[in-house]
Amino acid sequence: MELLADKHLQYVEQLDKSKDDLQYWLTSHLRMNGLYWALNTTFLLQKPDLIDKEKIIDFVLSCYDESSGGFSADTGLDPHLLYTLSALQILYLEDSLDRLPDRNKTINFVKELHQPDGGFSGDKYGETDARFVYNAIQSLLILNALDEVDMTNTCTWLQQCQNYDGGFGFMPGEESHGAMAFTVVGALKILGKLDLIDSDRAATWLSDRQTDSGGLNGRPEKLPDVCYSWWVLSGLAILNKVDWIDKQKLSNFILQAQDPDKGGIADRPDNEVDIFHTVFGLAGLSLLGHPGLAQVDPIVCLPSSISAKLYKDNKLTLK
Amino acid sequence: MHNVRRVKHTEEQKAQRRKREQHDIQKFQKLNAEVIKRDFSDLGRVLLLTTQMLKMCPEHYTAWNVRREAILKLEEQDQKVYIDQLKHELEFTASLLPQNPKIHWIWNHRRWTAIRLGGGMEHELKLVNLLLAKDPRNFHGWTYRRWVLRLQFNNNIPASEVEKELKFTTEKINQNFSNYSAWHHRVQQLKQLPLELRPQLSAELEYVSQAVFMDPNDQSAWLYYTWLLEGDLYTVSTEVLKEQLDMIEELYSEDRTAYAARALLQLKSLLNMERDQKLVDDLIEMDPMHKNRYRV
Repeated sequence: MELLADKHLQYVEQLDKSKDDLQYWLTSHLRMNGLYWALNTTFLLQKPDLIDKEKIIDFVLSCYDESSGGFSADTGLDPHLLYTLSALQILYLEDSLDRLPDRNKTINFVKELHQPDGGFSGDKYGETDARFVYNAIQSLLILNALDEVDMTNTCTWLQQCQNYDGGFGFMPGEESHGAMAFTVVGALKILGKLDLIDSDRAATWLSDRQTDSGGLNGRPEKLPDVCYSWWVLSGLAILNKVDWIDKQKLSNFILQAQDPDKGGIADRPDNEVDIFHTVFGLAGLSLLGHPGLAQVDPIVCLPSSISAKLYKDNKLTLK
Repeated sequence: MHNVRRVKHTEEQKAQRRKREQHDIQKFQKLNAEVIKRDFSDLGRVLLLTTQMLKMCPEHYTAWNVRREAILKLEEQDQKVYIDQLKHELEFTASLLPQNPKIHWIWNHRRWTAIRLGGGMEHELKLVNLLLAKDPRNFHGWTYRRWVLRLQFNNNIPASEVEKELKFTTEKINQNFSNYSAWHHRVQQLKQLPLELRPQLSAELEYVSQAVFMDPNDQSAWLYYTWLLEGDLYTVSTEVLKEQLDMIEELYSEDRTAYAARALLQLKSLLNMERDQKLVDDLIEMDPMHKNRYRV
């Protein structure tokens, strides 16, 4: 199957027209992430103006929590790191970071979630895992404030997420999971501490995620899923080991998971599509060098043209 | 969306569904508006509203937050009512988890409750056992299990408990040796056991060999086998490595699989033997997807 770029753009356009569907409301906890996924999709498909800029910025700002400086998933909900990063990514993609009401307050929101053991919790209610460590680090990168937090114990914490099998768990000692390759490897790369992990062992575990169908799974003996074409492949890309898998077979698997009628990409061929698998399928194809897509940066999941500016702002050389 | 088959609906079917869902959408909007008001003048009402919201949408993380804030206000008012409410929270999350075993927010609320209730953790392990019986690979369940044990023993789990956990992994692996979550848990337990209580390397090698021989294409057991040989925990003598080399060569002669070939290459490397180019070539032929890795 070919890349159905126009269909995917149509799919993105109809996303906010589904307010008559119960599913739209039951996923309000994903609204801010969904918007980042949708916007990133339009950037990857090289139609960055498809979504109305003012409308999206208005929504993001409606989710700003004045008392903490964080952002929520939807208007009226509570702030959380998961949504704060998506909000910052949207503002950065739209070249509108100056619309952020109070930069220092947002920096403080992230800083206060830093735990004594080096991890970050997602909000003041506790849960700590590598997702939030990554959220915090990329948020600080966008805020150009990485040097405001001492990350020494965070680096150790991330290092301890690597298991004997080479993969990475949600926390030190937890089972290796494909999604944590992006968070742990990406975070350490941003912090300039990739040498803390055993890269060859990591790349071996990550490349073993490729199944006979060509798709990547998240853990041994599980079914393949298009989203790992991002979580796992981005880790391999940061480690410069994308050619440790069969790129053509993975490309085919992602393309077969497209819905030829309404557009969008599913977790597996013939399944129902959603914006999460659409953006990460496209981002995976971009890492594989598929024509017709903007180049994506494996460290931050933003177009490389945008991340180049981000690194310049921070005076970082990550490539 | 995971694991949902694509079905084509006609316009008429879509219209019917929307009509059906209108009532629930209104209910959601009304509950959402009430919950985010954070009106704590009537705590019973807050608990009722958040119960309704979370039954409808267990991912409504703000409803969980509001609920916790209400429970903490109960604590200020009446200690007994507060404790009873915490006990109720265990029942509430236990009622939601079987249908939603992968929702982080529910597990998080259960952690919050368990920390506050303290005491014995038998009921927690019972719940985890139930959920792991349903889905033996649910990593939330395994993570919670390790967390509960650390909480119960204040990060200092006695060896007798670790031995129980080791037995638990044996049970799970015997049910299905392809359960990598159980192998992972086994590694974590072995690392915690004092040397004198640790099973012998030979016993572990024999145990995992059974799995490897039964299905030489299963990744789970091979990962454990590889870990044992690398000597991360056990000292592996040259003699043992040679025995293993003979054994895997025998397996490989009967059933040529990529994993067996990889194990042979690993064993030869650990024995400082020359790189077996023929084996590498065979491996590339069997598993061409990873050819660039094998060529390194």
